Amino acid sequence: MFRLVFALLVCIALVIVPASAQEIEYQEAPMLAEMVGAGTLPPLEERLPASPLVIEPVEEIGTYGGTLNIGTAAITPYLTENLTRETLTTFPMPVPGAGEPMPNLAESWESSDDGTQVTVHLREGIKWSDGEPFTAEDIEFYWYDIMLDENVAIPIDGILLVNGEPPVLEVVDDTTLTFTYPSPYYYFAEAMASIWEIAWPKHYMSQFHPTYNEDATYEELNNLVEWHTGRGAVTLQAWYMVEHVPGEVMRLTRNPYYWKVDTAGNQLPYVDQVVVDVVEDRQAVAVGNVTGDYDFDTMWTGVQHLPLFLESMDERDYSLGSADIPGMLMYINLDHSDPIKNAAFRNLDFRRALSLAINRQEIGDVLYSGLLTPSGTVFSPSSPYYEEEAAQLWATYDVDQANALLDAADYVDTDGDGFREAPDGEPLEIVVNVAQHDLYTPSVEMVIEDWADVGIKGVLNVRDQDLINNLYLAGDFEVSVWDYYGGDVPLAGDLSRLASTGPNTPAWHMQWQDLPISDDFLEVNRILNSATTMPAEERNAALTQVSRLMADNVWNIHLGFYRRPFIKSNRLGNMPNVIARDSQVTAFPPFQLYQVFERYAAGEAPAS
Amino acid sequence: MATFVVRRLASMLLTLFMISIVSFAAIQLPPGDVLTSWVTRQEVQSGAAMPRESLEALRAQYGLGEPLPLQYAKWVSGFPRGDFGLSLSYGGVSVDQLVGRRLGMTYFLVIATLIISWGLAIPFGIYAATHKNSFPDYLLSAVSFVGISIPNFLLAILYIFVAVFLLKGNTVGGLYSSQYIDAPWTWDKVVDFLRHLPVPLFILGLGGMAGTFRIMRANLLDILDQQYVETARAKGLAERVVIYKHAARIAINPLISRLGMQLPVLVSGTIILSIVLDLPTLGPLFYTALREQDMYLAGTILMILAVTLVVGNFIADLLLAWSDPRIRLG
Repeated sequence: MFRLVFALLVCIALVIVPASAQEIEYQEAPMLAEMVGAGTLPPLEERLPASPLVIEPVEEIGTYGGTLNIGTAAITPYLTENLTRETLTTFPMPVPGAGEPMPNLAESWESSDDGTQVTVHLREGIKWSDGEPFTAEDIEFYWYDIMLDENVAIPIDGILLVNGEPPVLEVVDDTTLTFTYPSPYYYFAEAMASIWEIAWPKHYMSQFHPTYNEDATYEELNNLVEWHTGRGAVTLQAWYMVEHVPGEVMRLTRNPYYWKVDTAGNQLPYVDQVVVDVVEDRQAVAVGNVTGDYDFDTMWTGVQHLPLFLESMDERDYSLGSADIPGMLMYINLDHSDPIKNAAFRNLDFRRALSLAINRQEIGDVLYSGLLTPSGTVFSPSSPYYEEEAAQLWATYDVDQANALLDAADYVDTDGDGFREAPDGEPLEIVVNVAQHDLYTPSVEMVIEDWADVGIKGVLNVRDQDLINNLYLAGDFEVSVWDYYGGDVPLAGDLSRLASTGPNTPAWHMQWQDLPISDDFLEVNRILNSATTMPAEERNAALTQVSRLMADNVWNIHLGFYRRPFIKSNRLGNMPNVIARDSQVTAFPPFQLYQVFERYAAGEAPAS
Repeated sequence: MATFVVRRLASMLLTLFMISIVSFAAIQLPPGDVLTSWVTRQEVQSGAAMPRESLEALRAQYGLGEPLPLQYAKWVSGFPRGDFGLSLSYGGVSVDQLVGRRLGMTYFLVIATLIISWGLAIPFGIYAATHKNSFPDYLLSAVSFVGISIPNFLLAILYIFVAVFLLKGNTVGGLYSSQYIDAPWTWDKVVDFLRHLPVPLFILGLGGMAGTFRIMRANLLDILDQQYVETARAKGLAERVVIYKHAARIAINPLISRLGMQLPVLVSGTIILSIVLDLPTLGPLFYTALREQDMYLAGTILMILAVTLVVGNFIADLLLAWSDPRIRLG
């Protein structure tokens, strides 16, 4: 009897104690507990906000400690250094179709009845990584003294603008601020979740700002912007930078004031240190991930490395996940200065024929390991704006139809050399600018072969990416190749690649104001410019229409969306298997890395 | 001799001055400037175009709108202070900091390669020439042809393939593991460094050895046919003395005069190898700087190469004068 009662008591204790612990007692990493014990750090209760953001891990509650090793081929930090992003709102765990944005720095927000003003309530008690309180003034500082100060080399994010104008930000008190828009704005939470940063530490950065310090110069400030923000010395992110050797290595350590906990009350992040190794070449990143020197990569390796990854997967300790991303886009210069090319590129049937002539399936089988889904220039299947039928418009391989369209447009082979001439008999050659790229360059080679089958002569022009980009921006190209920005959250991408929004003009249609290609283009412009001022339902319908118009008009040629593999070490817990990526760099980061943990140390064998 | 040295020093300075002008101008020839790519990065990140005013402000701050001679004068006038300008492509880090970190390692590799390749090539060359058409001669010649004809970066790729995919090994790239980057030179770091060193040294050494070996062998063969060698033999000198004191000493002259050329070639010849093997030398910096039109960084490295060249030539001339009395002036 006594034993039974005892067992019952134990059971009750087991149920009750953890439940109450979850509500009140927070845990911290051993390395921080040591610092607290030594008196160099305040206790955890003083470091955490009153109500920390609770994160549900991907799979399980992790354990503290260890080091993440990352290889990057970027000499500047922004690409892979972007381990976490802390803005007012955030998308939930980034899997495709993740859903509505959720609170982050902001605990709540509400719109006024007419939709022109948003009031934001910040989470109370958040601290910077140096222990100073985070307040609405830090946001005001970043907004007015950094993004909107034209002497500082950080432009305001395009998605925050309404008709090219930024909203007015006003600080109400330490944790309350308002954004006032010139017209109703229905995209606040999404926009705030899509940008990279919203606050800089005013107490720290103002010493470098001429407005606050007479001795500071803008030149010096601009030299600091890449290193003193986000991952810099004072941050709101999960790790802060302790050492940086330019071009070689970045070392980060956990932010003792990080304001997120897991569902068991453990302060995040789980991992103590992050080492970012800067290597000279993306192939070195690929090999390093295979050998286990690095723990994961979503940036530098892709479908072109799949054979390499599969080769050693059985013997080595890694596995593969995948992300659906947009593929390569061929931008056609609708305002080329040569009248013959100008006429050809402006001819709708000609552009449609160029797209129809491409055997996307074959390119996908040869170069994308069969992971390419042929598609025209529509928004991503994981966005709410996708229509299967629109995606197939002028994107299904059809040599006969391409030939018929070209014949009807009067592009025929008059001199019998196997290539079509322009209507007045002049020879026609299309130069395609493409960067030296291990996926795009061979793709373009295959496109040019396909074009030759319908009598269109394409010429491959492979140059350095910076030069290709400069020529693109100057409008000095015929066809130029780069990423397509039509992913999950297209409004957060570089819209000037898709249409003309605000002050931006797409480089492939510089003369759209004087000589617009068609009314459809103007309609796309209008919708993209005002999409954020439409209520959700109206916005979805309008952007679905944009997607269809882009595909139907073939202003630029998309190969298709593809499943891009990414490599991850098996020693990490809580790594998602499928992630959403808008494009290379825009939209939200691939993982919430603060909830990833180390199962065993690098170089150790897994416990079997 | 003193006038020779002074004259050479004066012409060196003039050469360097000319090189600095040409290199500074040449870097700026392509369209665009270093800001273009930097601004593009910021724009991709924010999804918005940078306002024209910001661009103008930035150009003014970095002096990019100023006339070329003025930009040049500003750059050169910083040299005595050790100020070589800022590198925008590396996020505004000062050039002397970037270059300084890698200069030592670059020269260490170059000089070690030189010592190894000469140390092997000269004895091998002498042996091959004196044992012409023997099996060792054919073997050495075959190896040196391989060394000359396979670019060093290709050897590096082969090495990675064999090490990682055939032997399932792990160590590739770098000169030390990442935890030792910027760490003080402890015993552990030295051991780690020595573990990383053989591969790049072997790859660099093989190419350098091959060329030097061919020259040494061909020269010595020429000289062994000459009459004074016959005379020496006829005098009854030991074959050892004939070869080493009379023939090899003359045959080595072209190698010494090649030394001056070889130093900068070794520096610039390691660019692709350094990219493949991830070596912290000046090579990848130079490549990035040229690609991004980062003129202060590229110009400074060009100047370093130029100084290496003229100083190398100067040393070669002195060595030559020392080794061959006939060349001394005056």
